[in-house]
Amino acid sequence: MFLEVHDLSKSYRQHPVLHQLSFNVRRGEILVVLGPSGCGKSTLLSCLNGFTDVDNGQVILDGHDITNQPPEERHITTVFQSYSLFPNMTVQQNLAYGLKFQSISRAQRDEKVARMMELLQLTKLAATPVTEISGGQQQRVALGRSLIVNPQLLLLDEPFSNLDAELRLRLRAELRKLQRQMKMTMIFVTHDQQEALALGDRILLMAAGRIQQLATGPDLYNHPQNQFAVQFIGAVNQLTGDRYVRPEAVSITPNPQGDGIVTTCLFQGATINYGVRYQGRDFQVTCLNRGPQLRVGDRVTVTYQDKKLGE
Amino acid sequence: MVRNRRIINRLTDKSVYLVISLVILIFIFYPYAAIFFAAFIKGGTSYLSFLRGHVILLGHSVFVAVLTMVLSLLVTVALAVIQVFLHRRWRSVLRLILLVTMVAPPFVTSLAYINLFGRRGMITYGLLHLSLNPYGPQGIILMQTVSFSSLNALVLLSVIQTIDPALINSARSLGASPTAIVHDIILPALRPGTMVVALISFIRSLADFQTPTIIGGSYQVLASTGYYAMISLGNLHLAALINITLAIPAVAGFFVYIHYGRSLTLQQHGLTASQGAFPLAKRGWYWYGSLLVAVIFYLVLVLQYGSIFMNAVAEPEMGHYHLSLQPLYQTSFYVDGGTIARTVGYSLIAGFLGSLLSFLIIYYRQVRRSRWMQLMEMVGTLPYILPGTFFGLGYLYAFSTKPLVMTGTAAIVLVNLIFKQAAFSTKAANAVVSRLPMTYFKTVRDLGGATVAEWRDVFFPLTRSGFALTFLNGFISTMTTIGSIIFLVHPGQELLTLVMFDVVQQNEYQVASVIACLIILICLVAAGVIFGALRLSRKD
Repeated sequence: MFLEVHDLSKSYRQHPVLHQLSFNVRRGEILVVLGPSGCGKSTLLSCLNGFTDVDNGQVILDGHDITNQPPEERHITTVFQSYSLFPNMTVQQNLAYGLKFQSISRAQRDEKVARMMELLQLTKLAATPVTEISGGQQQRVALGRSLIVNPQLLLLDEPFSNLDAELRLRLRAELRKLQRQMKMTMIFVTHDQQEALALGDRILLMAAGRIQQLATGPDLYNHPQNQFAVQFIGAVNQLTGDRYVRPEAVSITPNPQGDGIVTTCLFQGATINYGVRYQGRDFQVTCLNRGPQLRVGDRVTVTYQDKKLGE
Repeated sequence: MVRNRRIINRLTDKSVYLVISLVILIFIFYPYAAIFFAAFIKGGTSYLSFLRGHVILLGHSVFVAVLTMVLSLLVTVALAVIQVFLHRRWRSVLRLILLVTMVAPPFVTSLAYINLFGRRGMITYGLLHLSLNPYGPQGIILMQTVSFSSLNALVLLSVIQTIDPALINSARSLGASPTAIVHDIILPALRPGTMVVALISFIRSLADFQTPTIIGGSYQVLASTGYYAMISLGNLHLAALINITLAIPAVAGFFVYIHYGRSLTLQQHGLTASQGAFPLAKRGWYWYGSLLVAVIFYLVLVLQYGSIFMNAVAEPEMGHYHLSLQPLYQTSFYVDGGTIARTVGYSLIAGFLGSLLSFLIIYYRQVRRSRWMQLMEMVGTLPYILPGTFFGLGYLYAFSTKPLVMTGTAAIVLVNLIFKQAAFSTKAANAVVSRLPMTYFKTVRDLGGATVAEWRDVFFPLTRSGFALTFLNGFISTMTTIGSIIFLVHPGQELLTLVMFDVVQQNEYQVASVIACLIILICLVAAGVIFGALRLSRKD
C-alpha cells in the first residue's frame, strides 16, 4: 500500500478527537474523507501533513515512516480551504514558490511553471496579482502550487467549499481529469456527500473521530454497514429493526383504491420527491420526472424491497 | 544543498529565539528584579515606615489622580459624543487634530499653561493685567486632563466607529430622538471604553512627575517626590520605594484594563464603520452639552499650541508680540546639531529595533505558539504597565554594578529606549499579526520552506504597513519620552526632551517653546514620510 495509517490517535486537552484510525491508500487513488463537521477530518489531515503531532500511531508513506517528520520534510502538500495564496505575489510567483526549496536550476523552474500554467489554463494570468483573479482561478493556482513540487501525496481540505454550485461541479471534473493525467495520490476532505460520491475512488466515512465505513461510493450507498452510514449517506426510510429502504427504491402508482396517500410533493427538476403516508408510516419517495405529477391527497399503491444493514 | 539550507534555517531560528529570550531577561526582567531586591531585601527604610512617612503624599497623588480621571472622562465622553452629530468631513478634521496633538512632548501642556496663565502669562498678565500664582493642584489636574484627553478620545472614537448602523437606524425609525439614541445606544456601547479610559487616566496621572514638577509648585505628589529623591537627594532607595508604590495601582489597573480591553476588541472585530447612521439631528441636551465641552477643549488646544508657537517665534514688547528670531538664537545656546542628531538617531534606532523585537516576539508567540515566548511577551510588557521612571531607575540599579556596567554610556540610554519601545510595539504587533491567516505559514512549510522563508516571504511582507506604523509610533514616542531616561543621560549626551525639561525649570519658556516646536516638526515630517511611503507602496 502506498499510504498506511496504523492506530492513529489524537486528543486535545484530554478530549479524544481521533480514535485509533487505521486505513490504507493505494498509489494513484483518490480517497475522500467524508463526515459531519467536528468529526476529525481536518485533524486527520493535520496529522498526515505534519502540522499536528500524533499522540499514538504511525503514518507510513511509500515505505517510509513519516510520523515524526516536520511538514517541510514530508513529500506531502496541502490545498487549504482558504487556498492561502500569497497576496503579495502574482500567479506565476505563487506557482513557482515551492520550487525555490528544491535543487533545480532557474531554467528548469521556469519550464515547470510554464507547463503547469498551460495545464491549468493560467498562462494569460501569469503576471496578475492573485488578489485580482476569480475564485475558480484562485483554486486552480492553489492546486497548481501544490502539484508543481511533485508531491507523493496531495491533501485537499474542502477546497471547493467557498465556491458556487456551478463552479464546484466544473472544478470537480477538472480535478478528476488532472488527477488521472498526473496519476496523483490524493486525500480529499469534504462534508458534501455529492462531492464525495462523484470524486472518490473510495470513501472513508468518519464520525466522532472513528471510521464508520471504508468503501467505494456505490458500496457505501447500496450496502451501508451501520446506522450512521445509512443515515448520513443519502436519504433513507428507516423501517423496524435494522431494515431500511431508499426513497428511489419505493415505487408508487396512482390508484384510487391504493393504501398510500400523497402528503407532500417537492419538484426538484429531474426528480420529484413525494411524502407518502402508508401503513402508519411516512415514506420519502423519489421518482424520476416522467409523466404526470401526483398531487397532495392522491391515493397510490406502494411497493418496495427493503434491505438489511450490513448486507 | 537542501540539507545545508535546512541546517542554516534551524540554526538561525534557534539563535534568534535564544537572543530574544536573553535580551528580554537581561534588559527588562533584570532591572526590575534589581529594584525589588534593593528596596525589600538589601536594607534601608522599611516599606511600612516609608508608607507611614508619606501618607500625605499618597493622599495628594490619589486626589489628583481621581479628579484627573473624572474630569478627563467627562471631556473624553463629550469629545466622542459630539462626533455622532457631525458630518464625516468634520469628524475626520477633529480626529486629525487629536492625532496631531499626540505628537508632542508630554509636558507641553504645562509649558502652555505657564505661557498663558503664568505670572507673565499671555492671558492673565497680557490680556487681563493680572499677576496670578498658577502653581498648585488645580493646574496639575487641568493640564493632565487636557494632556490625556486626546489619546482617550481616540480610544472612544474607535468604539463609536464599530456601532452597528442598523441599531441606530432602527431606533430612528421607531421615533427615538437624538437624546434617546445617545442615552440608550451610544453611551452603553462606550461603557467598556470608558472603563479603559478612566484607568489609563488614573494610572498615567499617578506616574506623571513632569506636570507636578513644572506647575505643582509646593504641592508635591509621589511621582515628583520620586524624581527629586533621585535628582536632588541621590536617594536611590527612596526613589525605588516610591516607584514600587506607584507600580501597585498600575499593575492592578492593567488586569482590569485587560478585562475591559477584551470587550473592546470583541466589539471592534465584529462590526464595521457606522458612517451610514450619522450625523444625528443637532438638538437635545447631549448635543448642546457635548458641543460646549468640545468647543472649550479644542479652543484650549488651539491656545495651547498657538501659545507655544507664538512664544517660539515672537517676543513681547510693551504688551504686544512681534516676530523675532531671538528665541531661536537663545535656543542655540542649549541645543546644537549634535543634540538634534542624537535625538533623531536614537529615535530611529529605538523605533526600528523596538518594532523588530516586538514583531519577532509575536511571531514566535502567535505563529509558532511558543509558551515561553508568551511569558517573554508578558515580561516585555512591564515597561508599558509600570511608570517610566521605574524602568530608568531599574537600569541605574542593574547596570551600575557588575557583571554588566553601562551607566554613563550612550548605550544604556539607547538600550533603555529600545526596550521601552518594544513594550509598546508588542501590543501593536499583536493586533497586526492576529489578522494574518495562519494558513499562509502552513503553506510555506507545506511547500518545503522553513522559518527564514516564513519571515522573508510572508511575515514581514504582509505586516509591512503595520510594521511601518509601529516604527513611526516608536519614533515619535522616543522623540517625546523623558521618564525612563531622565536618570540615565549623562551630561553631553542630552536629548531634546531632557533639554526642554531643564530649560522649563530654569524658566526659559521661550527656549522650551522652540524645542517643543522642533520636536513636533521632526515628528510630523517623519509621519509624512512614512504615510507617503505607505501610500506609494499601496499604489504599486
